[in-house]
Amino acid sequence: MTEKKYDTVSTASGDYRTTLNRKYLARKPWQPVDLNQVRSFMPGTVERIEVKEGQKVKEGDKLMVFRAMKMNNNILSPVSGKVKLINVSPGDNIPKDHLMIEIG
Amino acid sequence: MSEDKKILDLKQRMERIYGGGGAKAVEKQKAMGKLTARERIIALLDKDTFQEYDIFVKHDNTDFGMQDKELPGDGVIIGTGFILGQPVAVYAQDFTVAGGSLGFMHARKITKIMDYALNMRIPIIGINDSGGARIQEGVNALAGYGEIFYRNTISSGVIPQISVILGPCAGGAVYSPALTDFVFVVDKISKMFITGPEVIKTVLGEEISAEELGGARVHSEVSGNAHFFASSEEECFAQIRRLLSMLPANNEAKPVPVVASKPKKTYDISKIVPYDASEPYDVRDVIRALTDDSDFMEVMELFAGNIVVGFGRIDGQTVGFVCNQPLVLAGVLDCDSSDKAARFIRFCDSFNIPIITLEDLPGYLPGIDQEHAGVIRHGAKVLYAYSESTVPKVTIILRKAYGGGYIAMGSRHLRSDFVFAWPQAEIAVMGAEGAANIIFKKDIAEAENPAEMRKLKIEEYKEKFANPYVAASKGYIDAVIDPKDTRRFIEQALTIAKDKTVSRPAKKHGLPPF
Repeated sequence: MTEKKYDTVSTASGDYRTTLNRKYLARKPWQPVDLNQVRSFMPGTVERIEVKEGQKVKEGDKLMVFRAMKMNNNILSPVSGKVKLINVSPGDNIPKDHLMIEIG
Repeated sequence: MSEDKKILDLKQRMERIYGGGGAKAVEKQKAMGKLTARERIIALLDKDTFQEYDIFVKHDNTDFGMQDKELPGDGVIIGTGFILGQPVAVYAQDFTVAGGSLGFMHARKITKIMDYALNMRIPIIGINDSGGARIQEGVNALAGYGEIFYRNTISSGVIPQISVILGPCAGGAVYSPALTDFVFVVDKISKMFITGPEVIKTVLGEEISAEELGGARVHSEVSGNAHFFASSEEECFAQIRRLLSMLPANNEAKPVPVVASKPKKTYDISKIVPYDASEPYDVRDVIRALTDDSDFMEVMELFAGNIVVGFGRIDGQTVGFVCNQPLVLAGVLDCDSSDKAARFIRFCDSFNIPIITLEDLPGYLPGIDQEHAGVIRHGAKVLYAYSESTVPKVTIILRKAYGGGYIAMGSRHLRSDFVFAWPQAEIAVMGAEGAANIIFKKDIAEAENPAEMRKLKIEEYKEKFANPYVAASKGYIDAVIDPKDTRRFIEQALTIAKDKTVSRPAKKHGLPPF
């Protein structure tokens, strides 16, 4: 019999020798969601921006229009605050999870 | 003892148990912004209708010094009562008694009321507020959980089962709510997880608060384990009462009808949906333009907002709505929205609630993460749920109905009884741009001005195919209707389909793609 190499999985009731699968190994550590960062939910085009840097916004205010899936999606502010950064310009083609606007 | 004394004795015995885990524990419960278990039941039910059973039940554990511990009611209250005049069974765990921990007798009280509910064919509401298994009782506590899960499963699709999370609900305990039909949570009070933050910290070294790990918001917005989110216990009880008013008592009954009323005039159905298919709108406004008194009770409002599901009434009868929401993620189908829609459709089908589908979607969400997350098997649940359901089904195509989305969203082919389309509907194998690029690839490539030719061909495709009349010419849709006639068409469809019967081959059970 060939010697098998084992890894360890820890649970509430102790550590166990076992093997790991690819999906488990590729898992990403959890990161708290930063509501101040408005990111693209999928690839698309910046249609227009309706706020300026430094402008005060309330939760639910329209920040910009983002075209994706043939739809002009209204991007609303997830929080109240000041527009700290506008990271995109109209016409920009951006990938998914791209930082578009930051509220400070 | 004289008779009077016996009654006094009974009262004293009951008073002792009504005190729960004692003044100090009750004070602690209140400091957390929580009502006590008994207060919760009374707040939930119609006034003076609660009848309690098994008040004198005691635990029988003698290990680890437990024989000296008195646990009033063994930490759980069970009984029956009424909600809006309809009978319900209810239990509530009492956190002030040994942290609401579940021991063998505690579980037996719960399973007793569950058996009542199933035998009497009435809805059951379980209020969870428990630290988990009573460790001192060992495997007997686990047996208790197992007996509850089994009953949840057997009762599934027979009586409506509602879980209310009003405190911690951790470890194995979470699986009873997960097996029930609707889970209610309250902001800052509900906490649900399999392994808590302490274990995660010691075992994995990852730090997270209980709220971030399994708070009410997380389960309403991220995990999809909860269906109704409230900011206070009072609001939560009002939600439960409203929901139950729309549901039947069991799978052989129909929801109790109420006096019919018209939608409010503020919702003008012909002005809500923009003609430009790339402009978003709130599909809930269309729902409100169709329902009695424009009333709509949304289910899973905060989860997968790209599909909207919930209950309303048409002509006084409860109906379930399943609607694409162009306002969120362009209304696409993805893993989460498929799960949400399929589960809701299956609930409606189990409990004789007709399904109204409002369709406007560009298709499925493209993406590596979606493919790897199994959008194939998740998406298949929607097809399964629509095909399997035998309640009356009416589909209205408001605007876009492309490709796989067209088939999935209650199409004729999956046995919708009535499919109506608005004149601006675009029923096609895909959007005009995509289709023109494929069909006229050669014409576009060989043209002197490819961009111009592309535009021309897109227009040509739109003109010919982006309309409801090709589908209508095959009888795939029953009628193209003026938006303002929508409610009238639904009303008549539901009246005609009232005694709909469908026969299917006998089987033990189907195999929906979980």
